[in-house]
Amino acid sequence: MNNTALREKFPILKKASKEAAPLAYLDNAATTQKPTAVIDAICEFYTTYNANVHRGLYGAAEKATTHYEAARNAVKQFINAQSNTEIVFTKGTTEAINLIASSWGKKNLLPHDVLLLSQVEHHANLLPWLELAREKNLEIRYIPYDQTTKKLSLENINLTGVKLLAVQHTSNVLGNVWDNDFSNLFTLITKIHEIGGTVLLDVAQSIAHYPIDVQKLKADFLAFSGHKLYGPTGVGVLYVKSSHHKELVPYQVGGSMISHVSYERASWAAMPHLLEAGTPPIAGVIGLHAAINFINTNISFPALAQHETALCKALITGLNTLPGIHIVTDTGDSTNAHQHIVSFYHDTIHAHDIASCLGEKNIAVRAGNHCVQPLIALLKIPALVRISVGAYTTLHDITLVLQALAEAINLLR
Amino acid sequence: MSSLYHDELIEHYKKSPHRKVITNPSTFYGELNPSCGDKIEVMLVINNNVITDIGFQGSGCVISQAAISMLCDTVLGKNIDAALKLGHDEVLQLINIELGPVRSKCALLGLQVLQQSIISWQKK
Repeated sequence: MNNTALREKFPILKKASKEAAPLAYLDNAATTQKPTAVIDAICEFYTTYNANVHRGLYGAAEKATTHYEAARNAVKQFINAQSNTEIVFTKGTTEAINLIASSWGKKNLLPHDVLLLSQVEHHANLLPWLELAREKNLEIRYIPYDQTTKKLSLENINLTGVKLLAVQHTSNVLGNVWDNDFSNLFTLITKIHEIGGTVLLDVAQSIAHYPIDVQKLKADFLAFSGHKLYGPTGVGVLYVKSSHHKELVPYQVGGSMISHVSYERASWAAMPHLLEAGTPPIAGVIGLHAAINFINTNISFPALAQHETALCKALITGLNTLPGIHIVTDTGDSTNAHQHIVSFYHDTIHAHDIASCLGEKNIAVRAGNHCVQPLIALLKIPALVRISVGAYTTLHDITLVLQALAEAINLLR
Repeated sequence: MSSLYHDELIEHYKKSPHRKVITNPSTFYGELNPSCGDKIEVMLVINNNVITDIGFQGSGCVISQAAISMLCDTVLGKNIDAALKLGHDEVLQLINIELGPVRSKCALLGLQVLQQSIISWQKK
C-alpha cells in the first residue's frame, strides 16, 4: 500500500517548520489523526448551517437534522446493521457501555446472573460491569489470558448461568487475543446465544482496522468511538439489535427522548431517540460521517491489513535486535494474522522514560498502564510502551522509532 | 543529545549517593504511584530538628528517582521546617527541566514522600 497520497490528506502529518521534526504518530490506539475532509465537514457545519437537530423549522435546522440522520444511515451501512433505529450516537465507547449496563443491565439482569468478561478488558468494559455486579449481586467470570500463547484460553470456561458476554474484539494493549481469524470468538458467541445469553462487543480498537459487520458477528450490542476511526472526539456509536429494543429503559431523561410530557408524567420516544437525551454532539456526528466517507473512499481493509501487519513485523524484527526489550503482544511469528499494536517493556528502563525520549524527537507512542491495570498486574510488569499503527503510518516512521529507541536505551541503560 | 535527560539528572538516576538503607532511621515512609509503578521509600535521621542523614530506596522512571536524589542533596543538613516549606516549584527548578502535567507527578512523588515522613515523625 503506497500511502503517500493518503498522508497528504492529514494536515498534522505535514512538516510544521524547517526546524521541527515531522510528527511520527504511532499512538493510533489512543486516537487517530483527522483528515482534512473531517475537519472541513465540522467547519462547514459551524460556519454555514449550525442549528439544533429535530427542532427548528428553518433552513439551517432542517439541513442539520438531515445531515445528522444521514450520518446515522452511513454508520448503519458501515457496520451492516439492519435498521437506522439500531444506531445510537453516544459520546464514545465508554458511554455506550455504561449506557447498556444501565439501560439494559439494570432491567434485564437478576441476582446471581453471570457476566462473562475477559482478563484483558480495558477499564471501560470492566468498571461498568463491576459496578452493576455490586449493585445487583451478579457474578463475574473472566476468560483467562494465557501468557504463553498470548491468547485467551477458552477451554474449561463454565458458561452456566451466563446472561451477558461483554468482550473487546481486539485488545488496546495486545491486539487480537482470539484465534487469528476470530473463529473461537464466533463459536463462543454462538454458544452464548444457544443458552439464551446476550453479547456485547467492544470494537473500539478494531473499527479502524477490520471490516465490522454486526450481522456476521451476531452482536446484540456493539460499541465504538469516532475518534479512533479518523473522526472527531466526543462522538461514539452504540449498536442495539432491534430484537432488544423492548428491553431498554431510558439511560438519561430530558429533551429529545420523549413522546409526551405533562407535569405528572412522561412517555418515551422510540429508538434510537430513546437513548439520545438532550442536544447530541451534532458537529461530532457530522465529522464521523465524513470519516466514514473518507474510509470508504480511501481505505481498503484487506490492503490495510497487509500494510499494518508488514509495519508491525518490521518493528518486531527491529525490537528483537535491541538489548533488554521484551515484547508482550503476540509477535505472530508463524502466521500472517493482522497486527496493528505492538506492546513491550525494557528490563530496566521505565516505559515513561522511553516514551519521553521518543517524544523529544516528535515520535508519539503511549507508555503506562493503558487503562488496563488488572492486566498489567497479571503480567507482573510496571508499565508498557505501546506502538500502534494506522493507515498513514510508513516504514520510515518505524525506522525513526527504532533508531530513537536504540539511542534511548544507550543513554539510560 | 537529550535536552530532557541532562547529564546531572542521569548521574543522580544511575549513581545516587543517597540510594542506601539507613538501619535505624528516626522516620521512614514510602509510596507507590499505582498509575506508573514509581516507588520511593525515604529514611531520615533527625537530630534537634535537623536532618543529619537521609537515604532512599525505590524504582521507577529517571525523573522520579533523580528528583528524590536531588531532594536528598537539598535537605541534608537542613532543618525539617525548611524541608516542609519546599513546594512543587522548587522541585521542578531543582531538576531543571520543563515537564508536562503527566511527568510532573513523577517529579513530585519524592517531595510528597519526604514531607510525609517528616510529618509522621512530628506526630510521634
